[in-house]
Amino acid sequence: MSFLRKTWALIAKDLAVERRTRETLNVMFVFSVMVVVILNFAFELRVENVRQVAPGALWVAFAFAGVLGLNRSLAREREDGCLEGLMLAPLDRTAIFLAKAAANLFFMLGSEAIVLPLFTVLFGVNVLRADLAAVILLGTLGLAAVGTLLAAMAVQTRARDVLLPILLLPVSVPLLIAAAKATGGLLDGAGLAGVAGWLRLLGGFDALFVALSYVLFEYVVEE
Amino acid sequence: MITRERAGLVLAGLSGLAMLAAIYMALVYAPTERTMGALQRIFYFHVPVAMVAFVAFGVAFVASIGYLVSAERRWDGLACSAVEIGEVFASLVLLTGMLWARAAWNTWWTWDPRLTTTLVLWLIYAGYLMLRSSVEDEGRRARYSAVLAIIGFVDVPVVFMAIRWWRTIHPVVFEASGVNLEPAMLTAFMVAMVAFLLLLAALLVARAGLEALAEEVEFLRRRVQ
Repeated sequence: MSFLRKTWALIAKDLAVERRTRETLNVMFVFSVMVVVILNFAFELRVENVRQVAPGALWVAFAFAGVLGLNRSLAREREDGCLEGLMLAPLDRTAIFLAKAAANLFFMLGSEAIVLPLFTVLFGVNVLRADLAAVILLGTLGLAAVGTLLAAMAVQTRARDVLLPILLLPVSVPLLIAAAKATGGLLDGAGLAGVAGWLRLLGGFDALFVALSYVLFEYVVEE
Repeated sequence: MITRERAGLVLAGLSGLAMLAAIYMALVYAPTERTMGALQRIFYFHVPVAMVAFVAFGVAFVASIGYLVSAERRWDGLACSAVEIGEVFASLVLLTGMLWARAAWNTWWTWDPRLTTTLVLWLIYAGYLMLRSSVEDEGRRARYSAVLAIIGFVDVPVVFMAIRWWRTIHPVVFEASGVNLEPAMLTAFMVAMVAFLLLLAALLVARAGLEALAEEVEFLRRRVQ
């Protein structure tokens, strides 16, 4: 089998598991709705116009739900010796990384897509826009890539799931700043050209950390 | 081992002497700054401490690459020693910075690019130390920490760029002014710089030596069992 077909087989495995259990998407979706609701309560008391904090609220919900989904996805590989099975299979380690990162990206985007209409209703800000979709895609890509690498380490430690947010969120600070600023700019009507700088930063972060995670993943699963 | 111990002692002695000189230079020799007065003297400690933190994280980055390439444990020992020391110095930077900010700007904290980058850095390496403490298997601990040290250090310039950009769009309250140093101030600063770099070297040698000893003890214990 070619490299691409092996990678695709692994992605299909994750999709099949998700189709049968619906564990990850459900949890991520409900959790992000909860974050949005709680942020609304938290801000409503002090912030006059909740719409002003919408970009930040959106990315907090995405990042936190992402952490949850990433943990779930990699913890699943640890159960019943799944990872050992994958390592024994005649596969490149990089194929495992690409497949897990792609599946995680897919689940994160999926749950974000369901959250967006609800967010539109709850915050009274229309976030169902094509230009915003580009920002969300770029932001989620970076989170999924470096998150897959760090989650693969976190789930193998004694602290397990607790460790991932502590490792992932500080590293993702530039990504979250750029994503929130770009989102805010678009909501204020700056247009894609108006937030080009932030998009470049997002793209740069993605390129740098996809490449780095791709190279370093080999050392994480080497046993 | 004896050469390492001797090197450690020499470095410790030198850094002790240099530190005394730095204290004299900073508190007595350097002229008092016009607007901030004696307050500015914290500069001779704050900035070298910041430099030491960055150099230590840089050492950890290089040592981590060294470990992934060679799989030799001494690289891992060096990396974890450097991160521990760097984290202590990063805490000191934040503390001295806050003291200075409170006195000079009347606020404990401002989201200035350098302060914020240092804080994010502190968080990344706090994660590194937590990661180390929650992995038991030595090989795995070394590999995981090396991966995180590389990711973290590569992230530093990106964090700085993002934050600087984010802040420049907001009104900049406190100009991060390029301090034009008086020659005597520059001399005092350079002495402090050398003193702190010597201190870093002394601490690194001592801490990495400790790591090597721990490894040897582990080896001997396995032979006895």
